[in-house]
Amino acid sequence: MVIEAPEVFRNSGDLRAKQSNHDPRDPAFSHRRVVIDLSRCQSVAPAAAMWCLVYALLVRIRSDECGLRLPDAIEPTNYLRSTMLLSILSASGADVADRGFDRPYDSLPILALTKFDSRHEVEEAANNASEVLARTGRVAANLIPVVGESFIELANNAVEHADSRIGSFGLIHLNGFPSKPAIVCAVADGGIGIRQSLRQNRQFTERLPFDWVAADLAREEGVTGTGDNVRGFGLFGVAEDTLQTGRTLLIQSGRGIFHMTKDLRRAGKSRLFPGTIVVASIPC
Amino acid sequence: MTSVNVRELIPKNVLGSRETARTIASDIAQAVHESHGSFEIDLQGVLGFAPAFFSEILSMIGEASQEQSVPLVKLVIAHPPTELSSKHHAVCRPHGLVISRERARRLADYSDESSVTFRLLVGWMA
Repeated sequence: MVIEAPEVFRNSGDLRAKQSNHDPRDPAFSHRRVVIDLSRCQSVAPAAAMWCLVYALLVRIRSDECGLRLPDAIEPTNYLRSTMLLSILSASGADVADRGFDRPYDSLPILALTKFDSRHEVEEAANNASEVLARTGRVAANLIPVVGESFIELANNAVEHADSRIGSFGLIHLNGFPSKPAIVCAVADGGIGIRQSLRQNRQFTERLPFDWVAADLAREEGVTGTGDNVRGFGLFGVAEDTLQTGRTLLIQSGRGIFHMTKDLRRAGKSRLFPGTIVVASIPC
Repeated sequence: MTSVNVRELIPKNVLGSRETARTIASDIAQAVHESHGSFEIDLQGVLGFAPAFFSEILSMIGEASQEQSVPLVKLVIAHPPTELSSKHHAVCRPHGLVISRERARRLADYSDESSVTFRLLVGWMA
């Protein structure tokens, strides 16, 4: 099976349904060789890069073959290399043909793709990222706590609730430098998804017919799969921090997608993300 | 007022987990014991404290206060790294607490003005 990505690859919602809706978490997944073809891509966004990572690792963990065809364009390839996606996939046994070109690009890695399996690892990654962010001197001091807190909450959610066989991954980049700089903070996993996680709380069992309903509900105050009344503030806090001009929040889980800005909240059906990804973008 | 300087006890810039908060449980309990109900959590030097960490700190104060029969009269969060926001309100609510930004004082009231940002006051719900 070949999954072809479009020229502008923002997230898995841009893929063709016929190709991308085969779920590698499903025991019935029958493709013995998967190729993710990025050759046409002129740009690859962080959410798209993390889809590549999660999809490919889920295929690899089944011992199936997986290949990544890199973009013909140098810019997106350099971006992918800067995230460490290529080395992580190579290490997993995926077939990645990295031509090794290198050229300056408009993205500054703060935290390259980092795997974490525990809250301790999450906190360590957040502390490292905050120090790197402060050292760049390109980010207003009042944004550093927002990034650190957002990353920790998203990553802790993944560690605690995702039940992901490939673990969870975080990425923080300073993108669009120097014309429109923004900090992009992304966390993804290949786990059970938000709907399945929230359904562990009886309060929500009947209220979650679709993944996009769950993605929308998850960012509300006190919503948690644990049923503990002093929990459920992580994603809520990140969403509340998004309510400032220029900031965006993207949640994809299973076949649900949720977009949020200061003036917009839109939930709907999308192409599959085999797990959950949350991306917060903060202009700086 | 009894004060706990979190950065001195936990040498991290960003405080994110309930487990991390629990590492200073005995310091919190000791401070509550000495507090006579007025108590300060000083976040000087901290670059971020996530809701999970904050919630656990409130849980520990509540537990210590109950165990020692020391009623909490006043809780101050000094030098918070971020502005007061709806997530702080949300964290406090299930603990039966309300949080507010301390009313601005005249600069002359501050003996060490350079070190003062703003303070958050936490109190019981009416």
